[in-house]
Amino acid sequence: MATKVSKDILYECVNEVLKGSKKKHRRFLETVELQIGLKNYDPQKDKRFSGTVKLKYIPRPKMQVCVLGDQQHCDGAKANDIPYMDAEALKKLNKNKKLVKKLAKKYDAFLASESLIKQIPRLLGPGLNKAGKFPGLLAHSESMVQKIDEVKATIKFQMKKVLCLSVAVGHVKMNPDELAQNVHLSINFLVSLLKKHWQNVRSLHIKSSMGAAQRLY
Amino acid sequence: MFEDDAHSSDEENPVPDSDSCKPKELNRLFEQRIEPSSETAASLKRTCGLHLALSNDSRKLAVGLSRKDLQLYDLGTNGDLVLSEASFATYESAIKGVRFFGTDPNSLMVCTEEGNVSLYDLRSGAKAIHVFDDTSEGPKKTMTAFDINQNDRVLCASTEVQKCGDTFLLFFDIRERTFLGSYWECHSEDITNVKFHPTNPDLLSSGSVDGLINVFDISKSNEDDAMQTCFNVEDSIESINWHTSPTDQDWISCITTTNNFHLYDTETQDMIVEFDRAKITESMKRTSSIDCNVINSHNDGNGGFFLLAGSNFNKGECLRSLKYDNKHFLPHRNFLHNRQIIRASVYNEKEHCLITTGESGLITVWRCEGSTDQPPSEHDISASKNLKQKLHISHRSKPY
Repeated sequence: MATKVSKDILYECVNEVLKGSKKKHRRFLETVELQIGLKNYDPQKDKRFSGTVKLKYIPRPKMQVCVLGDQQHCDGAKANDIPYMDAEALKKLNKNKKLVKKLAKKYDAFLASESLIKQIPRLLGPGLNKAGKFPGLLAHSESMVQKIDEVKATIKFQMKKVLCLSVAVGHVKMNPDELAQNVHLSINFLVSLLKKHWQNVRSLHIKSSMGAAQRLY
Repeated sequence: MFEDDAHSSDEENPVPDSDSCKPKELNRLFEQRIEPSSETAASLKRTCGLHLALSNDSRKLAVGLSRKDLQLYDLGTNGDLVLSEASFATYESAIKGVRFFGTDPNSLMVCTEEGNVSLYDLRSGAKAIHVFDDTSEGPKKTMTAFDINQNDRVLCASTEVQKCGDTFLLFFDIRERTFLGSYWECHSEDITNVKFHPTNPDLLSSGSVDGLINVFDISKSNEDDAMQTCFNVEDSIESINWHTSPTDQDWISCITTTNNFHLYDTETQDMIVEFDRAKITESMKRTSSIDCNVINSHNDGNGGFFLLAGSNFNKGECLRSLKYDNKHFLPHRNFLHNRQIIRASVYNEKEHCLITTGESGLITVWRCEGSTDQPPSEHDISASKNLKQKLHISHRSKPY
């Protein structure tokens, strides 16, 4: 499947995007997006095109993850300079909707220990649900730092009614190899989900937030 | 340098999907080989079958088509399907769900995208006897799915994310025909499925693109208190189903839009097992995970459940079921001569009958012989010969 977008073209576009961002320096870290245009797909009939995919390199390095941990996880978070809250701290919010909303806004994502995650509805109510930030499970069997990196490297995509989709796959400070690999992985995964695979793809572009779109396919 | 996803095909000509073992081995693993008892084309015009509902007496089948038509069929005990109404109702917007009452084979409900849930009494013709009105604040909400609770008292319809940014679960009292209220804080994206518990009238589950499965006790007075459990699947959810464990605990399963399957225990709130599409493909004895189409999970009437899955390759000719057994999916039934990519299925637990519909607009009835613990025998071969003969006779129902 990757041969539909040759390595040459992929690198050419990646380099163009990175070059473009270096030319005109912006005051924020530009995101690099993959834009996919579909064909032979009917949103009314065909299966919903959405999901999550884990990339190799973190596309949003500034993403802040907070650990809602049991004793062990809180100790681990403290040792690794990771923001955390324990059950007591959550209880202090008293299920106050404004405070829960504030907490949700403060971080981009949450991870919670098994014992805590089961108490979230009772401790916090549906505030994190509404914000789209319900915590992911942090098991004791996995490394906290690794899991956080996984969360940071996972992107969501959802196509709604129109036949095009845009996914953040990187940023302009990445080196060409990293960006190319992320783009390659994303393309492979997204195309693999389509019923007719490449026959459902009309076009592929990548672009930085403020830059011009570079056509991959 | 490029670490390709092991399941994607990185060749000039990707290898087409096929069985991962020889026919002899396949037949040994899939002891039950089922042929269609009957198959009907919903329409001569191109259409896709997207919703199925079976009445509680198992004799009526309602089919929701992508053409926005609702059709009715009579289902015989011998598996024959006879068209009753080719176009019982036609709607302005897409059909999003069809359901018969649990206690009445003549009461049928249909939900459409524009936000109407219509109630029909099949004995009094095709005009809806009531259309449920959402009297909540704001413009009419676009609906995505619905379900009715165990005692046919409460209707719950789920919505897409509305312009205001909220996404809703709308509740109606079916008997009183009134709007009861809504939940609107429990999800942040389109809610794709709602399922009431099969026997507990107060237990409801919802699944969403946001990756959450919520379980509610709707007897509680407000949303905060009603929300019992949240499972974070961390992937967009397509559908959810209730099952029971061998020790009678409640289980919830979900199928994601990425063709993964997850199973959760609602009592312990733990995830029991998850299968990605690669694992499911392997269990199905196919080679191409990118063509895997995970359709539905069904309770088998013997306390267990099975997963229905197929391949998109070659117009969905591969259709199989896998029986769940202690964190594994075992080869179960091989449905032969399937002719379309399946998009909806219902399973009649009492009569062991599977009905499917899909992208070619065909409705197929698969009668499965007896229980799942039947040993393989010569009997299977002669039984399928009889079914083959039946197939020729049953194409007598035409839409007009």
